[in-house]
Amino acid sequence: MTKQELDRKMLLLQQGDEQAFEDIYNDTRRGLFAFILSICRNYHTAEDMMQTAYIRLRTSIASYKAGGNAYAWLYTIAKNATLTEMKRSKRETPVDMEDPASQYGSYTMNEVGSPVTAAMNRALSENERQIVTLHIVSGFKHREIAEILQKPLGTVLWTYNNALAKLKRAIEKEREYED
Amino acid sequence: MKIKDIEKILKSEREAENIPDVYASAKKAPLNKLLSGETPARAFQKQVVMRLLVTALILFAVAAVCIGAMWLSKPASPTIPDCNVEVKVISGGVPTVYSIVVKNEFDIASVLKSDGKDAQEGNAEVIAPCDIEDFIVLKDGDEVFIMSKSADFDRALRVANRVLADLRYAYGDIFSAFEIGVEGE
Repeated sequence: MTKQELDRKMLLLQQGDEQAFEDIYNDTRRGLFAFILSICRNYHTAEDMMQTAYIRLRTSIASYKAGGNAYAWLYTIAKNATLTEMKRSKRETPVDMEDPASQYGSYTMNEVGSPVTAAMNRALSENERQIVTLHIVSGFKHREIAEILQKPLGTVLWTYNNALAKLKRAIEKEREYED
Repeated sequence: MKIKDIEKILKSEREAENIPDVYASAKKAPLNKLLSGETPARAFQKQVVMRLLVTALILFAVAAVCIGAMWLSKPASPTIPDCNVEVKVISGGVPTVYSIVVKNEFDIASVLKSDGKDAQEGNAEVIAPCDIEDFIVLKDGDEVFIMSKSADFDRALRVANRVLADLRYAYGDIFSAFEIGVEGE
């Protein structure tokens, strides 16, 4: 779905069209889940946050402005909800500083089947993971990513290239160990 | 491994992921749609007005509670203790005692006239309250003794001086002696 098509769907949803919600959901769920997962790195947390994001989409659709970037709007909702939840759970759960999983959440994906994803989760920062996921998995252009994350385009480009170089080094290092 | 390859592998790994389906549960959330003809800007303005109204109501309620609490805790204006004044006039060797109860600043509430002994026996004459010079009649050479008692010493002293001042005003300096006694806390 293009940005304009999604914008039209949002306006229909504003008028109460439930079919529009289904269309929006089907179009955005994969990219949105991947994005949330890149932030929290925990499958179950990402599932909860995805539900929260779509609920907030429904409860605050009246404030969506026509002609705006609907993807940026939705992804911002998801990002804010996820970060709030992560802060809340950090306050409530004691963190074991020696255990990285405790600090950053446990990623439950099958690492054998997804070595590059596993390397990404280990080697890249949260910011880098978000940008890489938005570009490669969600399919956004760098300009669109800059709008979603409220960062300068130059910063997004530099971070993306730097992140991939880091990922490449991390994968090569792991292969050396295996050999 | 080239960067392009990494991008392709990462994309295919993520596409193979099992995406949870939250559609049914998300759909249960109420849809905050716009009213017919409403624009997002207008909906936002309505929201802002409502929030301002609620904030104003809360502030008003807090102010009302604070003012009410201050009003309730305000100390009552201090009551003026009663003052019991005994004015003994010895005229030609014969004593007459006037037992006066003074309320507020100088309101004569009650007057008992006796020879001192009768008052103790409960046979004093009740005089209707009026100005002090109207029920205390002095003649040249009379002796006047004023005893003022009150819970507040300063008040007792003031009342005693007032009695003396009123008598002097009415009769001038005709009494041959006077004495003031004051008792109070």
